[in-house]
Amino acid sequence: MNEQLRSIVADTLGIDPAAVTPQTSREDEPAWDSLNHLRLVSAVEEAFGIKLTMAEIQEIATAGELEARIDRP
Amino acid sequence: MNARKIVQRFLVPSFVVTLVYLFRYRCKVSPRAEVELSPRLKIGEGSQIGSFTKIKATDGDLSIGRNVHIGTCCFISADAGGVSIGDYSMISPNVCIVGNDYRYDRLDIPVALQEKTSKGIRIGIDVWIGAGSVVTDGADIADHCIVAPNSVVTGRLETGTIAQGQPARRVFVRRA
Repeated sequence: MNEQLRSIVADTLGIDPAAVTPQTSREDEPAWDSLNHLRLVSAVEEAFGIKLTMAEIQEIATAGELEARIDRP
Repeated sequence: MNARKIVQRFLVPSFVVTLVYLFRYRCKVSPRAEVELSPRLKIGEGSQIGSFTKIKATDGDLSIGRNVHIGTCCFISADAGGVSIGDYSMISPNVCIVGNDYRYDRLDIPVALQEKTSKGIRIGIDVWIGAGSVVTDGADIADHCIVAPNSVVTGRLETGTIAQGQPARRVFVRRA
């Protein structure tokens, strides 16, 4: 998994970076609430120079899906 | 307190207030709400004010737009600077919007007896304020903002901002 993304997810959610995997999800991680989801998206957009649509923001549910969106041109 | 304020606040039965606002402004004020009959208070058509909410407009203009929903147990008070709430805004339960402040620069006089100040509060169109939030004097919340529950808004929030915290800080900006 992208180390920069792992670090952003861990910082935003306040969890151990080692605990962040592509399967880390909104459903399973209590700190990944709606506001932290938006914080995470903002941090990712800034770090990777991308801009997600609202539909994409709402669809992303796991760290893996976020990584796939970053890798997409 | 002058005679007019006493009448406005205490001698008009609440169901009369409800009927006046229903027929004058086509808005629904709960008979359990405490809303003054004041020429300084304007409520737009289709707006609703929930039970146990208190709205004071004796000391300043208070304008509530159309189709505004104000939940239960809110407190909204306007002073010289006025308070305005735009169309389609939603004010969740237990929100305080207080359009005045007190000077506190002297220790020999109780704060309550020092001069009141009022810059006013502006809340734009389509703003959603979460439950338990406080909006202090001087706040300026632009259109389409969302304030997370239990936040304290003290200054300017730009259009479409989603904000949280004490004081409320930008978390995200809404987009199409």
